[in-house]
Amino acid sequence: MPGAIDYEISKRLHPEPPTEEELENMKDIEPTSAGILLHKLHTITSEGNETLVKLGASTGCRWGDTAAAIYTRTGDSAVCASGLYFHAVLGSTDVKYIMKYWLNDPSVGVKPGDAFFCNSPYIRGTHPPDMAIYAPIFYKDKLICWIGAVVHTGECGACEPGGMPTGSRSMYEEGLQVPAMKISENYRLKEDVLNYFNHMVRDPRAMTLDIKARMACLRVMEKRLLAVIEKYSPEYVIGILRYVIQITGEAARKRISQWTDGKFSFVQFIDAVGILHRLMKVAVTLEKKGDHLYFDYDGTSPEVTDRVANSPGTGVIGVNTVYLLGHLFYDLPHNSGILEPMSFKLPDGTIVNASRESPKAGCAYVHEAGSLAVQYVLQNLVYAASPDRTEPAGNRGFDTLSYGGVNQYGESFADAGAEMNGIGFGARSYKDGVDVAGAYFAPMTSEPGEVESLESHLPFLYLYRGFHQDSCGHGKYRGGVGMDYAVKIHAVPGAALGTWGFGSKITLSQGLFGGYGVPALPFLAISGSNLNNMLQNTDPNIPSSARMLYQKQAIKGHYNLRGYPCVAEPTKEGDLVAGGTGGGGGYGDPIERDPSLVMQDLEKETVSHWAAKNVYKVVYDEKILAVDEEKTNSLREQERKDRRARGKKFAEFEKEWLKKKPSDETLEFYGTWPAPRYESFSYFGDWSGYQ
Amino acid sequence: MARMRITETVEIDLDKEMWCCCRCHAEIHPARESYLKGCLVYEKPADEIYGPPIPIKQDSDAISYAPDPDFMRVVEFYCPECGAIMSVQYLPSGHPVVTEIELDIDKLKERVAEKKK
Repeated sequence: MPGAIDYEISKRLHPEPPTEEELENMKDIEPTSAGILLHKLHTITSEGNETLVKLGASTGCRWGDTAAAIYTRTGDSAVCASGLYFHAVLGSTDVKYIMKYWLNDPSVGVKPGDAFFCNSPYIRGTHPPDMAIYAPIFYKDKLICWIGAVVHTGECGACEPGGMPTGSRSMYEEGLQVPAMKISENYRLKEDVLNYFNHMVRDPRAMTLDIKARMACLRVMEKRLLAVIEKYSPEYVIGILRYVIQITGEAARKRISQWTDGKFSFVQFIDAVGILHRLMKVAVTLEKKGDHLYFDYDGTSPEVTDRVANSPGTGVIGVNTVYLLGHLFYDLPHNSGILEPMSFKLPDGTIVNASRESPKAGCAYVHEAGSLAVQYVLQNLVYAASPDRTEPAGNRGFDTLSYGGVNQYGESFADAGAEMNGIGFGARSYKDGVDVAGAYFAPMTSEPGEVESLESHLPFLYLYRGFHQDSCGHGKYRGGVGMDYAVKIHAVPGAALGTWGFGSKITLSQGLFGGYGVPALPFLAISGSNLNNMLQNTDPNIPSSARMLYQKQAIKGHYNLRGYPCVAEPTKEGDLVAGGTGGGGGYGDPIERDPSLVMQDLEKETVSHWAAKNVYKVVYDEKILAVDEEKTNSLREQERKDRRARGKKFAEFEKEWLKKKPSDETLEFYGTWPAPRYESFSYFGDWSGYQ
Repeated sequence: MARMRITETVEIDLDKEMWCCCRCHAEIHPARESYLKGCLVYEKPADEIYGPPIPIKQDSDAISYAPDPDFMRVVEFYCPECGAIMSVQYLPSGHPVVTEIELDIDKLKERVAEKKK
């Protein structure tokens, strides 16, 4: 019998050694022909992913929090379509779990037409709302490979609606968690299993439709894949799936070997521990030796056993594939081979490598902080060889709504908001970041959703959505701005409403090479408002942006500054919540920014006049937005002189600085100040070459 | 050996083993240590980057885009010669400055020499 958690499986996210059969079938592979077949396999996963998005019902499924993938027989992800690469790569551990426990179990077994449902945080490393279904591909009774369909369905029956409870105190408050359960036999969905799942959640409609979308995705992919196997032979397909993983690892090694050897470090902070605002840290030190990268997370905060603040190690490693495959190695095939030249050392009993019992609903906070740290240590390494590939990160705080209740049609609803898919991306070494670009975790497929579509099935009225002014990190090239939003509870007596995410107390995504990080993000709730009257009277003071709402405060009612995250609480018709997603980090010294670009920012209202004058140090005519270049140059030169005057020598600064410390309350869960250290570690990947 | 650019803001003079500023090319600090040690350092008030807080009319709270000072401060590192910002670190008050980069200078020299061949 499998245990409740299998640490052996959780350490097998890296590619397996090739089997003898795979080695035999790889012998005659010729690269050009292989490329043609791999393109075909990619179109199959693309069609699968499109099927998912078109048929699903949850916010995540409709707006791109999905992946469709092909896995080797032994479970390594080989081909995938999605912007959300970690969904596909983390599926490896699910498939390996099925192969280990159910393949030869007479009470379960693996047969043609089977499909397995998985959403256990202790196997795939993410929170329960991330649900996957996998199906074996047989050809003439021989298991050739696996296919998978992964969706963040959201609602999973946890202690708060939407699947990511802020107030969870143990894994037993986090709803449905299934290590691997057969949900289909002989190509028939098992109604008893579906019925059970639907009784576990607040939104059975979304659960059912998302499961059927996954099954449709798998059937579409299976049909296409069987035709390919028939045409090319099962042996060739088995060989090609291992081949693409191997060439990905080899290509990554080649690129890494071009970078400079050394040690690179970064610390990323988290400001939320469950419902509390407290400080946590993820520390990453990268050692680059030859063609290999060694990541060490020593110095990270300890696990909090009874609050949302923890992640399994598998997820912390897997989520790095979003940046690695989506950005730094974007031109390589997208599969788990990217991890082959990378090894990870995670301290045991910490937020990056937590035990089974602690809550995992907020594991995504740790994923984001960890992946931010990994992205930033790589920037200092990569620049010398590839300046055009360096970029600060887009905001990773989610900064979205969570909600549940009964909608305007009398139907149950519960989910997380699509607003998280409206962040700005980081600036580049040669241009600004993209405004309201998508979700960091699915850069190419996610979108924040159409307001009209969301209003059609949710009891919400959106007052506004638009560029979230000054939400970017300023710099020579600024980050893209995020999206502001305000939602009124509408056409129902009330609903439960909270927020999910973090970053109200800290700068989450930092700048790079002198650029600034993104701002802290406020979140405001207004109860007992006069908004219905204002709407009925077409009041011109109805706010059309976060800045207008905050500065004018024209809406009457009780203002409650809640921040991210906050527990879903009862709200009434007419109540309003307002917030915004963050932008991307800035690149380079802001006073090096071309003043004409600042004028364009003012025209688009992405940047405020306050920032234009005080951060970018531009002198201009506010009416016609004409720059006075001479005065601007003079002001900027004065700023450089002021910096030299106010800056202290390092030793002098450090002497005073190191005497300071945050309050004991803020450091309640931080661990030993300033750098928690550990004796026991888990090692992932190959450490044999490390000296 | 020529100077080699390492980031947007710093380059290395491998002969002298010195970090230098990319903007004004001044020598900052020995390359076998953190270049940050050669910079001028300043804790910048976050309001000067993110704007002043906006008071809520009927409450003591204020809406702010600046990090909470008990959670995070902004530390700027300047070139001592030209005043360019070399790096910005976001740290809790009193948290040691993060080293950022420790290059294997010997390996780097070997690599440059090999390329010359």
